[in-house]
Amino acid sequence: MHDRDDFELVASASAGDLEAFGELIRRHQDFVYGAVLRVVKNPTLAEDVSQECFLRAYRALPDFRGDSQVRSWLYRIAHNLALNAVTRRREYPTELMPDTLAAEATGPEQSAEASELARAIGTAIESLPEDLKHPLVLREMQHMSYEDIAGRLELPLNTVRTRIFRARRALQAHMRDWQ
Amino acid sequence: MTACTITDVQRIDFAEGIDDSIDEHVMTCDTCQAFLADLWQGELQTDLSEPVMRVVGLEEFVIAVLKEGGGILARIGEALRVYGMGEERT
Repeated sequence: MHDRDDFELVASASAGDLEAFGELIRRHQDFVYGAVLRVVKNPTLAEDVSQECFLRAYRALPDFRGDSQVRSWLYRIAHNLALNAVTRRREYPTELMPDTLAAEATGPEQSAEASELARAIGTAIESLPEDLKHPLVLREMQHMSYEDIAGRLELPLNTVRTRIFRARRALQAHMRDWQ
Repeated sequence: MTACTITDVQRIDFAEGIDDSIDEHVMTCDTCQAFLADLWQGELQTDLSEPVMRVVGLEEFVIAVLKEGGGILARIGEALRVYGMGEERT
């Protein structure tokens, strides 16, 4: 099957082929979401902003001249929307952030909740694949440096950093539904 | 075109939000974006194409109705006249 490149998909979508635009979304949604999440630091908000990014992109299809890669174009839209979302959240805060809640957790009920949270995190860590779990545990629980972990596990430094990054994200995703 | 000199460690620091100094660079660098795209692969737990395409489809429908103007409304009216309003028949 012939995989159309991004420019072909943009051209088709501009001509009214909605499926082509759907393919563009599926191709770039992880990247857009990652770029937005890096800025807004809230998975739910990041999903909303990512959706808005693709809607803006769809409406702007006729203006895309192909001077840059489609991924770069989407990145710029996503980045600007993410910055706007952060500014809006600062101006109109609607909820307490988790760290604020944790700082206020002082009573027995909160302690019980904290224990439950600790157990949930333990379970989440256990569920990680071994190649992600080991570097994460060495980093977060034994507070080893990236370099020492690389030496211990006999892995390149970049591999260690990438795996710890992925492990943290996997944990965040696992804990997202925890209440 | 000059080759990108940003290291993978810098890119990961950027991805983790530790270092924003390459923000402007990433905006236009295909090499950095390709690295980040690979790093962020699988981050999203849901498929955004469905909700986005629903909105896009609705927008396209509304635009079509606006373009057709009275044409579509007249056809809906004609359909209602021919096929009825959906009342129960005895």
